[in-house]
Amino acid sequence: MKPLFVLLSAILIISGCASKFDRNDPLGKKSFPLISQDSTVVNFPQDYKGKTMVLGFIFTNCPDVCPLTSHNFQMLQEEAKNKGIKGVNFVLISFDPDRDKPWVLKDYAKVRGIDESNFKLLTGDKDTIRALMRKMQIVAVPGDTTKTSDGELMYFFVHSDKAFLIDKDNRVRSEYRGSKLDIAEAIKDLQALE
Amino acid sequence: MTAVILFLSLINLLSPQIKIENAWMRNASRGTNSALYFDINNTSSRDDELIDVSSDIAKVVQIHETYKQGENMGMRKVDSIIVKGKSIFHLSPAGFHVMVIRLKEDIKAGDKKEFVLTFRHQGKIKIKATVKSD
Ligand SMILES: [Cu+2]
Repeated sequence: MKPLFVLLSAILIISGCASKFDRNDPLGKKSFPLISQDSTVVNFPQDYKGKTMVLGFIFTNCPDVCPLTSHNFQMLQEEAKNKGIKGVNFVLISFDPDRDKPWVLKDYAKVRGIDESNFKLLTGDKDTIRALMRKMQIVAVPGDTTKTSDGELMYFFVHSDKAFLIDKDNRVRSEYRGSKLDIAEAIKDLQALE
Repeated sequence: MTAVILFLSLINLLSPQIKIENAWMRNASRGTNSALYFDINNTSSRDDELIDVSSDIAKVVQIHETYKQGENMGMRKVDSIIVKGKSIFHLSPAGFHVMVIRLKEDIKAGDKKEFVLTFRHQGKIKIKATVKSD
């Protein structure tokens, strides 16, 4: 009974009972060295200082929900461009660094037709990604698993569906649901930060 | 009796009670995963049940459901989908979908890919899903 209780409490703690993000808290001085779809090093979030950033989290093995997030980011990118909003970066970070290597992210960007000019897909080493997820209060717990006929164990995550708007000083200013992003609302928020 | 059954199955064959509409799947490259969506239009008054989906284009094909758990999203395999008589069941993003796991080939927007759906009563239905980059 006791171990079960501990396990349940642990699950509750990591799955969303954490306090609401303090919107005015800068992401801090801590730098998270990540790697982009082009295999370049990105120091997150420092490298984006001075620019607005729309940030989301995905894993590329996710075929149903995550493509909605990616697609919403693409639509927002396009709409921001149409509205003449400048200096915005779009960033999707993988919470599955074991499988999402830079070339996997590159292929994902190509297949999804992402305009990569101001759109980065980032991965990194496991510990860095984990620390960053803690910082951003992102949860991803392996859930459903299945085995292919040749013995590969496939796993899928139960994961957060959060996206953030981060200002030029690396402060979180808005939080959205990535897969249900309201483009008009996000555009208004972006304009307010211009 | 045999004649009656034969006659009934012939009718079934000529006028399918289950119609699959708007079948589409997401483009993806070889070795990755995709999802297939469609509407199941059950025109008969009898309930039916989608019990299997298969295809040669991927290593594993499963019926899945996406669910919300607090603020988080997950998905799980389901054994079947029951479609009530005289109703339409929609498989759509962030809801029920067919998981197409580990594609054996690149699938590009505009392609049409074949799947076989098995219903408890209607039996097998062959469909062609249009690949989209949505
Ligand atoms: Cu699924």
